Amino acid sequence: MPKLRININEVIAQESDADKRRAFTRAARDENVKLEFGSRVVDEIIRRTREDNIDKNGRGFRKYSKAYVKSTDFKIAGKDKDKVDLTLSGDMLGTMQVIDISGPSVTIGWNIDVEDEKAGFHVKGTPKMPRRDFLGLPKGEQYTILKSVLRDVPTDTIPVDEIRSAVDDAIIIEEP
Amino acid sequence: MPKFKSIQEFRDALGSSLREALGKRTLLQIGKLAREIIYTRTKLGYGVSGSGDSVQRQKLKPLSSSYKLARKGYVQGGAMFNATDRNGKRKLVQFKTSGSKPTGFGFTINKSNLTLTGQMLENIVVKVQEASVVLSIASSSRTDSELNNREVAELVSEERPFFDLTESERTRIVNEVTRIIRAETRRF
Repeated sequence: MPKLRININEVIAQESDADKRRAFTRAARDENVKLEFGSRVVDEIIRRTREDNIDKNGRGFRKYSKAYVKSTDFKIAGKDKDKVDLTLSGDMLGTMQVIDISGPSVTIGWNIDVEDEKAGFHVKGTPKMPRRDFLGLPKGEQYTILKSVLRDVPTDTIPVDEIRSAVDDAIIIEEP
Repeated sequence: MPKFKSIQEFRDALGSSLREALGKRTLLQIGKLAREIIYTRTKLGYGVSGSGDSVQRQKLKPLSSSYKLARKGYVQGGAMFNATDRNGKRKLVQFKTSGSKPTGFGFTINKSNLTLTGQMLENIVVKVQEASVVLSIASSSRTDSELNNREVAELVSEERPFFDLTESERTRIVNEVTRIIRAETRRF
């Protein structure tokens, strides 16, 4: 199933100044830095997919099929035939997240099987659907994001599990 | 969202409630996102199955042939068909279309998406109450039935449950809240 694994050392290797490279390598061992870097990569992949409609290499996605454009679902989702943004319900892109930060790598993917499967269809393509590989960023953009994270190094981890528990407690759906 | 000086301060507020951590306006935004998610998923033809932590998306049960015919008649103006009243009795109902054919957004004759006039799904309301955001179907009256929208939702939920959030949808909301907080913490 699709995963984006980024080795932070390879990202740092793009820096030509040896002193900076050493400093970046030390700073990037911090789990908060890796988590924030991964989260910003996720944000950027979502932004460029939804707004720029480009794949991991910066190329525009293949157009939607005529049948899909004519479908009721296409209209219900308020989609535009000229804007290929891989969004129908929004669940696939909305559930992409950092799933591992062990070692020098940050891994991005899905913890939910159904969304993981959908992402796989887009990344690899199917007999009925062209490949639209959105899961990635050019190395240069990864480096820009890493530098932005290192400019304001996070000092503490965002408590995602606590947020999940608070959201579960706070959203009440009254059974009809 | 309230101003915090550190993630620890935010965490302390979160320990009290999501409202303390996010503020009323952001909590309302989250509620509106939840409403939009349920609305769009249902319009696309999906309900839910399961309960608690294992709620999953599921295609809504298809419409019966007779109901499809009734929907066709309705679009053509003033169709009659069987419905269930508030006492559970079947009765013949006539839509008062007067030729105006008021179908809801996303309606097609054959699609099972809990949409005919569209009134029920347009009446999902979001309210912030104390520490929570509550989503419900308003008990507002309908132009085509003696049942109100909440009662209609109760009836349709028996065979086509839709009013809940799936695991994916809750994760989307958690990711959105996390995104808001991360943007805020960059200012610490």
